[in-house]
Amino acid sequence: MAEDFERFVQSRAAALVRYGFVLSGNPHDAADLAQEALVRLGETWARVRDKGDPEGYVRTTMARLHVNWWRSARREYLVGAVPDRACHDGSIGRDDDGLWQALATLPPRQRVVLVLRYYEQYTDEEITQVLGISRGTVRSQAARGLDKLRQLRTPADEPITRRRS
Amino acid sequence: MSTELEDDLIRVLGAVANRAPEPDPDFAAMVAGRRRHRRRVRRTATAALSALAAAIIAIPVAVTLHGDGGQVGQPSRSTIDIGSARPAEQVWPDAVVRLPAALPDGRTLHAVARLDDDRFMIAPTGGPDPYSFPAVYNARTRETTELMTATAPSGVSGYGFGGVVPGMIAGRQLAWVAAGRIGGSIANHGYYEVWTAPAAGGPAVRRAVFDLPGEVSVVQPFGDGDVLYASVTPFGPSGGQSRIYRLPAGGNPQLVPGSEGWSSADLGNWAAQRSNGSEPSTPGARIPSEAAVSTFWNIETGERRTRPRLPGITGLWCLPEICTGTASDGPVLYRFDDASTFRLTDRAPASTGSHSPAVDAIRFAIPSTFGGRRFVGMWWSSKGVVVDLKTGSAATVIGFSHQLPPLSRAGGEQQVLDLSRIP
Repeated sequence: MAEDFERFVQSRAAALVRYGFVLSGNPHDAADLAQEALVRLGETWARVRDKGDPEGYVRTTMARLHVNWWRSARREYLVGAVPDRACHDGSIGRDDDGLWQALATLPPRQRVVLVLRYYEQYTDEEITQVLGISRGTVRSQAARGLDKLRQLRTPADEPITRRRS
Repeated sequence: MSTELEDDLIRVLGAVANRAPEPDPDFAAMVAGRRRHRRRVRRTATAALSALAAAIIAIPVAVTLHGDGGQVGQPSRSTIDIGSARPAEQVWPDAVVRLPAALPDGRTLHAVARLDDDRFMIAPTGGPDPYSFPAVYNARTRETTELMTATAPSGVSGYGFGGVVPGMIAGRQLAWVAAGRIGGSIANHGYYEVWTAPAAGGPAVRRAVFDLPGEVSVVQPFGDGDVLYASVTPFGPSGGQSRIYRLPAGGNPQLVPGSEGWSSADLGNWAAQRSNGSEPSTPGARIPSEAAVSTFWNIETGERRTRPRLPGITGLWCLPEICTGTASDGPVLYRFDDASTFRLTDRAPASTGSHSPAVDAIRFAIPSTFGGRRFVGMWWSSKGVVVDLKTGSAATVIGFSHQLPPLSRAGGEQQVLDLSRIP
């Protein structure tokens, strides 16, 4: 059984870190989220494996951890401000870079709802199951996040800080 | 129908993922190292708690608990060990219900509530319509009865299921929301319909329409039994206060006088008063300051309820009957009705990360139709836990779905927990 789990970790590490990166926007947090979720999976490996969806368990745990860690410990990243640690990847493209940076300014739950909806392609009902929130809240969080992104989106050559003043 | 922004989001998030850095070559070893550390910490903590427990038993409760203005006593009257909670199918085997994981048409069956011995209200997903409406599933005959098949009103896009009203299921009516948008964008103009149907069977009726031009809002019906209300909570640049409407059968929504600033408290006919700018009523929503959400109002009976002062308790979050927070010695639950306090413990400290094993969210508090029982659902270090406040029993679940928390889903079958059947 231990070998089973280790094989799972080896085979899914890259995909989970990618998911963590989309969730958090930061490579260090991405690895931290993935590792912590896998540790928790390891503690209940037999039961989760028998239920047939350890990947889903880990991804759900990562989404919840991301929201909870922000709420409890990382208030220095203010809502509305661009975090210093936000990862900037110029290869994404100038227009896309604006949207990726704008995503970094969203409160964690809005961001997670949008990631689950537009990256994981979950339905709103599935998002309620992952995050343990009501369907109305999923819709409101998504609407607020999209509304904020719409306001923040600018031509690629105008920095976010200048726009906000 | 998606917007350009939504299409861009799909594309950008996919591109970001493709360019994410690769995991450290020692990633698997790091996971193994964390697990070993966790086991060492757990062994040390267990030994320390065993010694401490013996001392706590010898100390009497020194402070009487009160409902208003009183103070939470230390140590608490009861201790519930969340960390050792076993799966609900082991703790309450007689309350486990087995249902198919999917309907014959392939849609995933999400059980919402039990209507009688054979019938369940369900919210199916996965069909051609991403927002298909709820239905009633008969577990004995395996028949599905759709509650409504409405077409979108003219000018409304993305029309579909917008959520179920938990409290109404406890009464004789089923209630749900159909939502859409006008103007082709989620955030521009909300359109909401509130529908009901008799739990015993019968046609669905549209009880109210909320068409809110120029205002971005969340419409949240609530109620307990036959009476139905809806809170409308604006958000976004337009601002404004939340308010509550009564939804009479066969009539127009009626604004409840004095309800400005109030919204659903997610329990029966109760409303909560929220500070400016806070989120709509949401199970699990954290209120940043102790001053917020200190007053509850039963819209139907008029009763007002103020939660007691809880000095020394941080991270407070309350429903009309129960609060959760963190005391000096760990997380606590506090009940209003009998002023009892429950201290929550976890013999297995969750992690060495930046969070602590605490109550992340109270997901629901079931009303008294289940023989006066009170259940609390919560996320505890990212695992779902249901606590029976009558007995202090706790059990793990894999999620929360109104009155039927899911337990497992595999091999074409699912198991859910029927709280009404817990002995």
